[in-house]
Amino acid sequence: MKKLLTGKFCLSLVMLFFATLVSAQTVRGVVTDADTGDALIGANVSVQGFTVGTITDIDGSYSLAIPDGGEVLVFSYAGFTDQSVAIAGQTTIDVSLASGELLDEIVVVGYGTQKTKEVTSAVTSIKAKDFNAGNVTSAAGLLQGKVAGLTISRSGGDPNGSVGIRLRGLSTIGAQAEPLVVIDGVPGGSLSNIDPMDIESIDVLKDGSAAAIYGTRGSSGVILVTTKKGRPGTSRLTYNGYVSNESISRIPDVATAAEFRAANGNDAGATTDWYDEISQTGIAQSHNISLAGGTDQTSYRTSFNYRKQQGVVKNTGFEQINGSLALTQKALDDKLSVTINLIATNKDADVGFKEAFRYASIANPTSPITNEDGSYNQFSGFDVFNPVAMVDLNTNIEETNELLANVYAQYNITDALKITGSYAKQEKDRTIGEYYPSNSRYRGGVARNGFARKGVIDEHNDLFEGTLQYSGESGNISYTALAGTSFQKFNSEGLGIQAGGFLLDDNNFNQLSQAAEILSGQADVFSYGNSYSLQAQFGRVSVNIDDTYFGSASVRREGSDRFGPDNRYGIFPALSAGVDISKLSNISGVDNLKLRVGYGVTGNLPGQNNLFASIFNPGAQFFYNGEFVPSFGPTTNANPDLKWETKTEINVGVDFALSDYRLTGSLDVFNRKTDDLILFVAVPVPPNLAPNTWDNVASFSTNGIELAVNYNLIQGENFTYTPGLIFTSYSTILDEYLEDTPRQFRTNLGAPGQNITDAGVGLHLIEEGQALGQIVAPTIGNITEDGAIEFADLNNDGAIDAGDWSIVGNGLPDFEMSLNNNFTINKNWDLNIFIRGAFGHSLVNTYRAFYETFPDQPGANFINTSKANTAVKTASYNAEHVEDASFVRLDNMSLGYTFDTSNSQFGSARIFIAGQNLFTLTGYTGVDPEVRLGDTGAVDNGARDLDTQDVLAPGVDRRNTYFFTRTFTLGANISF
Amino acid sequence: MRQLYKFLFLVFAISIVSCSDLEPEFTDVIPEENYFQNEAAFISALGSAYTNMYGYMNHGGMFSLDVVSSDEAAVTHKGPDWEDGGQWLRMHKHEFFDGEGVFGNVWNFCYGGINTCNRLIATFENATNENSPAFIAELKVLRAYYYTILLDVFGNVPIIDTFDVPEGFKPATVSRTEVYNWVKAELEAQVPLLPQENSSATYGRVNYYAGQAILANLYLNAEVYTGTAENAKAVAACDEIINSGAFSMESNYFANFAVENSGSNENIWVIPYDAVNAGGFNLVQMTLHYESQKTFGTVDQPWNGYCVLADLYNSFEADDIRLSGGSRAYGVMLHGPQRDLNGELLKDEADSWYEDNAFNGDARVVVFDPEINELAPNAHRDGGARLSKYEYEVGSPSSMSNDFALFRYAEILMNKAEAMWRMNAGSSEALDLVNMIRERAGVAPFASLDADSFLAERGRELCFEVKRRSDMIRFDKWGDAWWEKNTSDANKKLMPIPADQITLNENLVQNPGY
Repeated sequence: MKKLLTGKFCLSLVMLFFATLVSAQTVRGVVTDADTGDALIGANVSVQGFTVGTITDIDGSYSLAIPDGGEVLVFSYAGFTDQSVAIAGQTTIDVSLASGELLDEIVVVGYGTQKTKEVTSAVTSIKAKDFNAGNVTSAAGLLQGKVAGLTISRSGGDPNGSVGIRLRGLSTIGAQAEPLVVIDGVPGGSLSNIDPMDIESIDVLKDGSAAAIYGTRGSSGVILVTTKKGRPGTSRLTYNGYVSNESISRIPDVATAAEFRAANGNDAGATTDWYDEISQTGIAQSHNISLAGGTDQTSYRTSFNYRKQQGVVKNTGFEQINGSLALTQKALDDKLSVTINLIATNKDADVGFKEAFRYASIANPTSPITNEDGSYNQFSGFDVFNPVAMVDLNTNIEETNELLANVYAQYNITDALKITGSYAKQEKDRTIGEYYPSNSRYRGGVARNGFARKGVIDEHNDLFEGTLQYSGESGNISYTALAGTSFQKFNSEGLGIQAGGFLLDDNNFNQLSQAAEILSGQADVFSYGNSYSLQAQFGRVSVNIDDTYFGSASVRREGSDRFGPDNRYGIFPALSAGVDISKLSNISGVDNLKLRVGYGVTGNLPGQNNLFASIFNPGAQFFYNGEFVPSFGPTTNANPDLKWETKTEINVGVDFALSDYRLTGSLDVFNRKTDDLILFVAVPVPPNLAPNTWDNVASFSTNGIELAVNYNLIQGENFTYTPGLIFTSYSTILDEYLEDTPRQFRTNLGAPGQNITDAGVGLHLIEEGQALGQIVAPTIGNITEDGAIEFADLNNDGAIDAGDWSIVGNGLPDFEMSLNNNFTINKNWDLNIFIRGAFGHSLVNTYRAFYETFPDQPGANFINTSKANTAVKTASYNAEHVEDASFVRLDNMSLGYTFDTSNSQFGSARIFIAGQNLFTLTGYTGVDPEVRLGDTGAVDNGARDLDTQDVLAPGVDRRNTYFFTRTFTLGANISF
Repeated sequence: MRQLYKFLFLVFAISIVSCSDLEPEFTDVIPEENYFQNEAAFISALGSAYTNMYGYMNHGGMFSLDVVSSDEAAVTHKGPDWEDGGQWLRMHKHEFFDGEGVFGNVWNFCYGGINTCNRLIATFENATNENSPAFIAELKVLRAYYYTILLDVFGNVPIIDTFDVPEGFKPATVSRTEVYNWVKAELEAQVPLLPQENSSATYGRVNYYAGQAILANLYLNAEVYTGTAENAKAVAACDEIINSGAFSMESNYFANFAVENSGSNENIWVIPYDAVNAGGFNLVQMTLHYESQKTFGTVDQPWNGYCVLADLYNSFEADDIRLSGGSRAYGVMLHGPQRDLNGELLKDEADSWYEDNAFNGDARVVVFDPEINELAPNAHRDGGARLSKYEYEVGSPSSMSNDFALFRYAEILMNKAEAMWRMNAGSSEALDLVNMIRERAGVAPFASLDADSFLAERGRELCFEVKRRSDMIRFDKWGDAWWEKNTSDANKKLMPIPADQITLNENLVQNPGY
């Protein structure tokens, strides 16, 4: 590794060496927005009377070689009034441009930026001012509902829960169903290391032609995060902060103690509201302080973030500290600029036990919480636990430390030719700890006399990249060319122990050496340490002909050692073109009408190392000669032919601006096809050793349409109203499935009593030629007198079997829509009302499937919804448990007041209130009608959710769903 | 243009610098080619053929198939609990179809073991290791044992005896007779090569006597498999074991099923289960009531699944040590009121009174009533006696440490008796052998033998030892009606080839009737 690092570092140095070969005479400066002082990225700087020019970079700065005879610089920027400045011997010229008519902005694309007008792929750029407001703790939350085609799903209000992100539906069944995250140019980034307050803009590369520059990791789309940076000028101190209050907004309708008694439930004498006992009002606070500024040669921004949040379940929440530093220094006549970017996060989370909701739902409402002696009333029976004891006694924590360190150097060999080199290191270290004391019935506390788990998981990667960029002009044709190389190595290591048997519970999981089970051999240990690498060369050429015709072509050749020697490299090309029709013919009322077409190929890696090789793994112990020795052998079938999954996408889009830019928007239609899907497929045994092999099989395709429209409906002096609409619809069809198995059930319901996969059926049916996400169920034919269900013989073959399970819904929505309403009143007030909905998806309401019938377990509570079939006395999953979950939600509403600070020492000051998840309209009777993109699996009796989600099984509302919450936030943004 | 050339030159320079080789680093796994470094590695490699056996007693495996489809036990539907798609109901009623998970599990269990044997035979044939010849013979006998299960359960299956097969190879079904002939020939050739030794060196592995026990069982069922009886050969195979003097009857029946039963002189070949080292024997979870956790202080809460049928309970005489337990607190099944470790009666708060579903202020006492009210849908949560032949350790984790005997000396005696009886119904030696078994159980000797008493005695002696299904078929009782089961079709004597295997391999032929 050390050798490798040295080699790659040398590469970066070589590139910088080349960069110092050439030099010339230049003018430098920074272009800013006269109103806000913000840097203008991509502003045009040209020398009057010459064809020489450049655009400002991400900091708004530029440098331009002045040809002999050049006297005047012309600055222009879309939406701003042009400005001309006489050079008159100056070497530094900073200008502030006054805003003119809104035109277009700069978009960050992979390894560079483009102007909106030049973009020929499906790319959406969201700036900070358009982010979701309120208590948003993740970057993904900023974008929910804001980007056509981007589905962000966070079901329930778990403060430590993950957010599901899916771009244009599913493009792989493998490990990387979520988009690649690129933070300030570093691919493979971790969104959780970026405080939302530090984000300047987020750009989403949606189609294959845009994402192909990221090769093997572009298939699920790319999210490019650009953090805020410092700019030349006076230092600016900014404070952003808020406090918020979160409460449960929707709970399953269970029987009260009185209803329970009336229904002849086992009366244990008390009256307990279990939901109330385990929940609390979650108070959150967030504070962000940043200092930014700079000189012509140096710019900086540093920020400090503190967040503390309580979950609505007692003893859950987190506390987080995040710091960042971005520093840019110029040297060598400003030809060289070096940027150092450091971001670090420390998060202490009380993950707690979201299962408490499930067990509170079925806890007997007449059971007391504690016994007379003060000990917890420990329930008997299968899969029932005292939820109060669960949250009070047990510990489940996670501490995360993250680091992103990035050094980036750029040298302008000439004005047209730049060379860059960068090194980045990303690290994410997690410590997990769980303890179940000897008086807790949950997860073996009582049975093992105290049970502890502790583990340390360390993931880090090193990235080396170098690029060359050349931009030129010839007549009315301007073009840029990019070539680069990239090497990234990903390491992961872990070590953990779980053991029981503690004399005292006092030391929690911190003194594992005293666990009796370590001596008895019942303790478990895991340990691993492995790595894989990606190596790539890439290039791109973009052309702009007379601001009318645009084109771009790119290719990335990428290799990974996750494949066998014959399949190590893949090539991922892309081609796109566009034409601005408004430039060709003058249509009245049309300011801009760009038609674009893109084609791109991207890839996907398998989720594990070494699948191509025959690996000997340790198995169970073998009794040999009177003692146990480890057994070793291959436990999986090697597949040396395993290769890239590829996705081919065609996107046709149109961007338009009408009526003096009052109505703007984009419409995109796409077709994407994923081939050679990497799947763990069943193979015949014999001749195979193991019943499953990782192989390239199956393909599916997605057709979709996306529309985003903004309209400046009212543009008064004292009142403006800008509604924006986003519409997304797609459907994914499984074109080919396994050669031998065109049809396959999937997804278990679980215990008690509904391990339906044991009987060869499942909640989902995967079928060639059909849509992904099909939910299937048997239909009630008859209900017997004692309340048992007899299923209908739908196919009339005389037998009730798998053939009678029919499609009753789809877990994925037909379409998703959001409506954004921006108001400004008297210039001081701003109001945003954001409404979001998903339509046509179904959810399996597992709460109902398990707990609706009574008196199956007279000692346990039951779910009491309007959809309950009271004739049924035996819980048995059927079509009635699959509900349409279409919903419309008042997702976010914020009202802000900006103070007039022109006569004060404040740069700006704004206060706001925001509400999240204020109101939901839905017919779904479960906790949250939100789309479930993947399935965490069937767990019972306190078992853990799966680490990975089954993306082929959308639409299952599992019993471990965290309850849905509503949040109110009061905050302030102040700068000095 | 000069700048463009410069650009192209630099691109060229970069591509030279960046082209290094990608090679995977096997930092925490061992690729096959690096594995065989020392003697211990060879032994550990052999181990993977045996560790596969640990799946035998898993819920949903061979044990489940045998006890639930026979008249020994049922998995009742206790309200919604254990409905699980109706698989266990259909298994009990002989209404199973080819998609039941249990068939796939047993199939994969057998062929997984066979493929591992094939792989290791190929490995050892190519390796210059002093142990190789002995390991190869042992693996061939173990492989043949897996085939005897396939022969018995599925009948018509493919035979694959080599690891090196062409890509895409899909083996074809051969007839049950051919499978029988292949297994017989293989065992007859290889068993004599095994060590005639019964010691810790062969414990848990196939030695000569285990091989003879497999053969005896094969011959005894030969008539079922091929239509031609081989009873004389069965007697001879049993005699190889009996006359060796290497084994004897334990005076205490339950010594063979104790947690610490590795000293049993009766167990011929065992799966050496161990809570820590060799998990998979989960009967404690599968059969005990949720509340039984307090009776045995088990680490995990049991699942309350498998219940003994009343007919088996009733077939025991009251003073039969096998039912009463003799010197042990309980016999082969738990029945009656259940108590916790302090002797207090167990109560099931979540259960209710059966008569009117009204709650009278007290939770129901857990009473394992041998008479189960119904199979489904609302079987009593505590209905049915529970399997307890294998001793439950206080504080037992979900994996038990009792070694599971695949063959016992007592079974060999009964096999010999049965083969003799089948050749000569008046055989006094056969009667004497059976009465040895009855004597130990503390019940009066039989005066004579008939088919029903023979089968019933086997049922009492060998219950829950995964023998019942083939016994019932051999005695032609498989299609009879019993509790909550109607008469069933003769085709049900063979289980269906798993549906997903048929889909994956078009050369497999489904058994008749499925």
